[in-house]
Amino acid sequence: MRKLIMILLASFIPAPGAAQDAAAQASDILHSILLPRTSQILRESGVPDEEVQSVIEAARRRRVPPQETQQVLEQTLESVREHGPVDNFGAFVQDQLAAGLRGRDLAAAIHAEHARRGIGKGKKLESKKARGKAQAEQGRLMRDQPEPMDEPARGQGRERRPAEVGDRPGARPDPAVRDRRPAGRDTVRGRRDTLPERGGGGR
Amino acid sequence: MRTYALLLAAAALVACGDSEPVSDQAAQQPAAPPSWVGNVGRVANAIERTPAAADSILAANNMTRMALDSLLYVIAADPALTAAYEAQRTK
Repeated sequence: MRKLIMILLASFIPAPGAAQDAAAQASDILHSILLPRTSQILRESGVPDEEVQSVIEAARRRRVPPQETQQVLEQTLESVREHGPVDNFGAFVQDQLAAGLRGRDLAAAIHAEHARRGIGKGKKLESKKARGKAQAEQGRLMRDQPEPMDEPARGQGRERRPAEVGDRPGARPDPAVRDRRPAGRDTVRGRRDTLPERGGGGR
Repeated sequence: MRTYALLLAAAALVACGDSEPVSDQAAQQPAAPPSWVGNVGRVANAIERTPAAADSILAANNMTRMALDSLLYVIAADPALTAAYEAQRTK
């Protein structure tokens, strides 16, 4: 009878292992429900949306529990605050996930990557979409600009002077300008002029 | 038969007349987040208040842990859904 009572009592006392499991499960779910918030803060900290999205998608595809992803993003956030965001963050995390890194190892790899390639504390990365848009706009502006009437001579980096018009065969050079040139050298674009000296502009 | 044809024509006219303003409104207003995002936010609030009762809260909302995980991933990947979820979370 005493034995039976003891067994009954023991069955009502929760095992310490079960209590630990319940606590761990509660902790997991509390971390999981923070995943959207952490992703939002990461975006606000200068990590482009598509990078955050690709990390989350990669973690989901690889069936990483959301509480683990949340912790990785949280540690990423710390690294971003410390060293600034890194370019192609999403691709880097995808590679690490593919290599089998999870949890603390993944967070450590991300931290090391930020320490190595971070663009600087407080700086923000422009999203690829925004970058593409800015480049397209710049290209459009370049196209819309009128072409210069007289481009500088290639390789010389200077404008053609009016007197050089006279260097063309058949044209009359301006004597005033011509006289300022070094004696014995009459060149256009670095080559010796083959025109005969007319001695004061063809008088 | 004639009545039926007239009704069809009237319905077509009403549809044509209404279509333009509705499409304009839709273009102006941002799409409302799906209602399930608000439900997930409410479930998360309840779990945060009593984490030990997470399983019963999920069951009461016809949700499993796996389903919640999946929905959280969907929300986190989308800034608009995240904003809607967070709006519910702060209530």
